[in-house]
Amino acid sequence: MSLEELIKACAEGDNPAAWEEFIRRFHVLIAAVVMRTARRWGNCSPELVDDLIQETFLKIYADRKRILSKFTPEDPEAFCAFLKVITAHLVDDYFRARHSQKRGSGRLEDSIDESAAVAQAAATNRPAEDVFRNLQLKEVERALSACIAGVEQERDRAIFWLYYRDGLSAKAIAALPSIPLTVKGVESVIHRLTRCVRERLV
Amino acid sequence: MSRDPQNHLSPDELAGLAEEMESTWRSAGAGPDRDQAKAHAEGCGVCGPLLRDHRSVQARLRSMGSPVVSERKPDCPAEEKWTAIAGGVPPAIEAKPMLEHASRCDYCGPLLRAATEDLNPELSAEEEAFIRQLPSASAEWQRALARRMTGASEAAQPGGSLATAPGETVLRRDVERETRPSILPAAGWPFANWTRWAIPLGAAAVVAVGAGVVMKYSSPSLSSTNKMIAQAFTERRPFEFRFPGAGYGPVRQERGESGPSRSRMDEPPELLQAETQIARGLAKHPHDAGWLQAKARADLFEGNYQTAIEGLQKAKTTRPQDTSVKIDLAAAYFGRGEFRRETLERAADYNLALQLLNGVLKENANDTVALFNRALVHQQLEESAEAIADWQLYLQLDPAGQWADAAREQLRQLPRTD
Repeated sequence: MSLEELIKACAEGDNPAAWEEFIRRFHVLIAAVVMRTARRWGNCSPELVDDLIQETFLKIYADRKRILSKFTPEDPEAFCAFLKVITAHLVDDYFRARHSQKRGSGRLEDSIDESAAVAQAAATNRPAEDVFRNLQLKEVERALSACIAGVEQERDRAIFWLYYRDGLSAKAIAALPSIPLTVKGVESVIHRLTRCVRERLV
Repeated sequence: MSRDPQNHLSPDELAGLAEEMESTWRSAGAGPDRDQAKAHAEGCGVCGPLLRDHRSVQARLRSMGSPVVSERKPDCPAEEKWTAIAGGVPPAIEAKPMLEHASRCDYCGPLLRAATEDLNPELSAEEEAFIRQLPSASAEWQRALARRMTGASEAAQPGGSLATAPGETVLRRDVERETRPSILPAAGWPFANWTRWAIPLGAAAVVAVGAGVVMKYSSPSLSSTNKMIAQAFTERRPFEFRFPGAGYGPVRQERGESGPSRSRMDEPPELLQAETQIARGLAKHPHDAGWLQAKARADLFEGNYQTAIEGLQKAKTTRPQDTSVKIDLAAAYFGRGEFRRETLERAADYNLALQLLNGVLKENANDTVALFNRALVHQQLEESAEAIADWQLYLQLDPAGQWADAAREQLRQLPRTD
């Protein structure tokens, strides 16, 4: 069964075989997003991951008309990306709800909240480092401005900073649908700009 | 045709060597020519300093990663937008200005990075193993879920979501759910537990395997960060104390308590690289003793002894038996003591260092790093007899090599008491 046929079968009705196949095909994709998002929130137990995977499929089923209508045979990748976004939002919502309940109950044992408080405290104690970093950023920005030109300069500038400031890999940048470049293309931009900036700063 | 060893580095070679720590570009230009270019740079008075400058700038670029915490600004988009951007949901015309915002914003940039990591289609071997072990990966689980979903369809709200609001999910299967001790919040998100009865006792083993996998990749780069710091200590040993894992190197007396003349451009590239990793590690695990210790080690290297002491005290609270934390903390007290003007304060810091090292050597009398460092503390406290005893014992345990030579030299300079 092609993916198009499968989506159609799932969208049309309550066909257990079709939904079983849907779960089989999309399990890894959804499990990966659940696992990583849950890990970011600090709880990635297999039990919870399974619960959240189940919850995601239930949500897809319940909202199948809207969700499955996003599928187009010309761009199945976009549908996969949409499923991933739904999954990540569902997991984020779960953890946010859990944390807000804990805050509401006045309990302070939540590790994320505690971490944020400590990190916030650390941030207030690092003005000198921030000043130094801001000076560095300005210096590099000046060098970068002298290195970029052409119609894609804003895109190239964003790629450079996403790589160095935000820590995205070239692959992650190329995977952003709004950056219409291959991994090699992104690497080439970073490489060219890095060399130019470095030569100006040496 | 191989490169002429007498030729100076070409711009391409210089760039390739400066960027060799960039993992994604490492393959470019690798091979014997690169090794020869490297060998040339090491022996060349023109290319060596030039390469060092380029590496320093490269490390500086690498160290510009977002700091541990940043504040949300009024123009920052809603957090959930970044997942949609990473997934390509909004059209490019809407996404473009948001990407430009993320590239300039220390609050949103890390959120976008986290979203791209969450949605990354590639799985590591550990992640694949984790998912394979999940009960939900089995055909039985999937079949049971499909049947339950479709069998209860009449209860579903057409076009509506099961999750009516975050934390207020209403599940059809709740009607039939079995009660179980829940790991979930009591007042919301009522997950069904049928996975437990559908997939019986094997779950316990899966939890154990899964937990192991989770632990394995929760701090993937701590050991490499510590190696980088040790490499920095080897390359430019900042003080007499030995540092765990670092090789021998002569002491470079250019340090100071972060004096104004001290430039980060002078730091070894490995240290700057390590500091980037530390910022990211602490962002994810702000309480982790390992990352706190790594941060303190970087502070030690830079002569920020007070900051190092505070970090190591926190790490020691979590890991009171960890001898490496005690050795580092002793180094920090020793370093701070060297800058104390008051004799009593200086002696107090040296004594704190001594107590810590005594504790380490009580646990393991053959710890050569602790022994070497304790001998130095005794010297500073003008306890010559104790220092001589420690150096002699050290030389029995480590009779050859550059550290042994350094120990012999220290011993030679001490006044003999016999």
